[in-house]
Amino acid sequence: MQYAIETRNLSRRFGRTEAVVDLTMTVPAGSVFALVGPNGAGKTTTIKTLMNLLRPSAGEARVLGTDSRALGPATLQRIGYVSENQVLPEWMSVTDLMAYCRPLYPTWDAAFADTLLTQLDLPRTRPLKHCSRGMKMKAALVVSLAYRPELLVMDEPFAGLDALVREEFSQGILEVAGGERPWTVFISSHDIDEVERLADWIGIINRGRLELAEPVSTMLARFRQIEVVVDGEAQVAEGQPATWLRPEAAGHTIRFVDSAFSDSDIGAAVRGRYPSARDVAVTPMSLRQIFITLARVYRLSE
Amino acid sequence: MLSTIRHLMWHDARSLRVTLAVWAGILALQMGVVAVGPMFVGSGSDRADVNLGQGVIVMRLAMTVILTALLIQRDTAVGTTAFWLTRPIRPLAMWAAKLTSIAGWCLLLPAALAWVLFIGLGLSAGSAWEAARQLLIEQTVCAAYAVVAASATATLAHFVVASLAAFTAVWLGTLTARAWQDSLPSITLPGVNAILNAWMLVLVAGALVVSAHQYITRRRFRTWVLAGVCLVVAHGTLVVVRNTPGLDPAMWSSRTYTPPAGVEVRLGDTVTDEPADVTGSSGLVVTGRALSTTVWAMSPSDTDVLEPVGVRSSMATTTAEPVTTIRWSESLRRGLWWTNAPSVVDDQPIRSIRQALAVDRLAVPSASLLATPLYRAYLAEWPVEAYKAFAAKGGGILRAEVVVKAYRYHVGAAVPLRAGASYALPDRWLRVTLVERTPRGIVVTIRTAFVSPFDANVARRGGVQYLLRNRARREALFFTDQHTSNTFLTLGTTSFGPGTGLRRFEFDSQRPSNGTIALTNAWVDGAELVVLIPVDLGMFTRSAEVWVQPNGVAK
Repeated sequence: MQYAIETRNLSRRFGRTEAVVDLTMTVPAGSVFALVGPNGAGKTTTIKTLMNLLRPSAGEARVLGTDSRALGPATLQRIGYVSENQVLPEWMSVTDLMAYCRPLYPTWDAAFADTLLTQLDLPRTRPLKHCSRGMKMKAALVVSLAYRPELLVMDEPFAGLDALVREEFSQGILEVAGGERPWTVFISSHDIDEVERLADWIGIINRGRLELAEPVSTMLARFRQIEVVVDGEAQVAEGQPATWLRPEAAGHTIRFVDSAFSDSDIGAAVRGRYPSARDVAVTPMSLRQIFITLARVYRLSE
Repeated sequence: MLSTIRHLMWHDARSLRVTLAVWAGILALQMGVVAVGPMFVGSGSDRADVNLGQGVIVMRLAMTVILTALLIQRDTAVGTTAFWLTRPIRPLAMWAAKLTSIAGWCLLLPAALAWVLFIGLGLSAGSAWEAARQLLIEQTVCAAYAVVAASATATLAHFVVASLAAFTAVWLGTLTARAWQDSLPSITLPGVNAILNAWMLVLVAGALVVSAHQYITRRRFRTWVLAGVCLVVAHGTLVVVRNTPGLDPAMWSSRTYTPPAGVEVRLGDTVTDEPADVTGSSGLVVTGRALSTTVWAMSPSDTDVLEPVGVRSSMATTTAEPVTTIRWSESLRRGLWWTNAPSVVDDQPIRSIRQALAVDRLAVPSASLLATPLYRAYLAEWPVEAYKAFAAKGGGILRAEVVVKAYRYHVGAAVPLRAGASYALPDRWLRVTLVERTPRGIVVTIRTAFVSPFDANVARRGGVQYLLRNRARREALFFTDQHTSNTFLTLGTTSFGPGTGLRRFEFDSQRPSNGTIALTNAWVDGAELVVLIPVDLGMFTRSAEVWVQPNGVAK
């Protein structure tokens, strides 16, 4: 399998603060990889390191096969970058911005850029400093998509955007993602809802450490909300498997999240721990529910 | 990469078009003020000329700083948020684009306009280039400082704070270093303005290195360190580099003059001995003694004028062994001063001018006009311990190696005394605008454009001189110093830079101290305005000594 992004033991410190710790991660080419985590988890630092905006304190990162520290024009011509932290040249209009970027990219597709502008309903001649935050983000997206990059890196692109703009933004990405050319999207967000529709891979980062990274389908398949109704007063049994997360008891019911769900095993496993179980209900979980569960688990473990 | 640089420069120019229009306006305003300002300001009107001229100069320098900062900070290499950092642009290309834009807009454009201005004012291409070069140097220094500060900061606010902090640090550092100047190693460089040239070269090289480092590595802390090193080295250069001890850089001449027989170089008979604050060998300022005397040089020649411009000295006791080396005070290294020596009549300039004009009679309105600045006072400082040793031995010999400059006057131009008459020399242009008869004589108003720094200083010995001459009568008359006024507007910050002026000379027939020339209508009809220009003949060194007893008694 080819990887658009690979990191190996990547670390980045700011003085005594460890923003990213020993991060080893692979982003398969052609995937839409969402790196999610709470605010301050290290997502932006990771992305800035990938984009050579920051140098790693230790370890290494490779982007499209190039060491991030040696990321030059040839590689950057294949990468799109949209970030809430990026300061656009606000004295330019959208048209100026496109004129500024166009000569820098041999693969610039003017017709496609025009289509995106129309689709995202962007004012072409208004200076960016007079545009809303949503418009600026859309402008950044257009000049990052117009050359059909092999890799699109987005750092919190939806932060502060209203629902309509988010929808338009997502449509813009989906439009390209659904095109003929295979490409990779690496997107960071603190809100799983924002990336749920887009991502096919998920990575969860917490306090600078990558807690997990796997395909969304795998994750959805292995996480289940389990609800066990027992006779008498429910009590969480001791010695539960480590993969049963956040167990809690209320009345006659015990609830937990199975993070290694197997359809064939769950009944026997539950009854092995709870012999008085009358009923076992298994409910699929959304990404959001999984994310919240994991976030609480990580917080408790700190 | 070249196409990328061009592309970036084009977008810089486009995005800063309003600022650049303001910049062009300021440059045009200054060129306009220099070109025609003196005519509108009039002569001697409450220093309005100075205020107007200085005002546009300050605007130009301020705008240079702002424009430089804007050009760099629009695509800053500080921080991680600049748009260009994630685009396929080589840092070196961005740096080159910024520096080329700054060079084009802030350096070459003003210099080109200055060149066009002075060509338009009637100077030669070479002189116009000299005028442009002076402006170019000023702009380069100004922009270099701004490049250093802007490269290490991300916003104009940070730029201002960093600049103020750096200015304060440099100012305090330079003051401190000056107190220790004598104990610091010195580097002596030959040539005119060697100190300024060395300072500027270090500054420009530093600005290039600091900005390139930040664009290429984006390591701000190291850039700050480099910027600090650049400022310390640049200003350290000002402290340790010297042209020649005691020699006024403006007076420097590389030629050697062979003095004729009979040339006399002397130290004054009177030596002043008084307490003074002296920089001791430890570098600390201590109370000591200061000896000062005059130095003068006389020539028997009717054409050549001698002028002492520098001195090196040592003090010897009666045994001829130096007690200590007298160091000329720092203030004197940077500027010697004129003094009166009424007991000696110096007619060297008068003789030289008379020869140049080919006249029998030269009326000088004031004896001090040319004779006053013949003598230069020199000050020697002495730590008190050394002075005690000198006093214990009953005195000593003050011995000096005097550097003497020689020059000769010649007629640069002679134009008929009527309005509209003009002349153009390579480095100056003049037009008579008004000739008025007054009860005392004649007032002549001229417009002039000049490059030579000495042209502006009328009364300076060795400077350009203006006279009236009647060739048929073999008579000439100096203007009256007291009733002459000048309005000068210079292009640069220094008062002796290239510029234009309106000058009003009064030729007073009743004032000459050495005989009246009657300015009759017939005399005036045949008169011409003559511009005398000193020609540098070179320099020579001659020893001179004087015996000094304690308390300054010389014998």
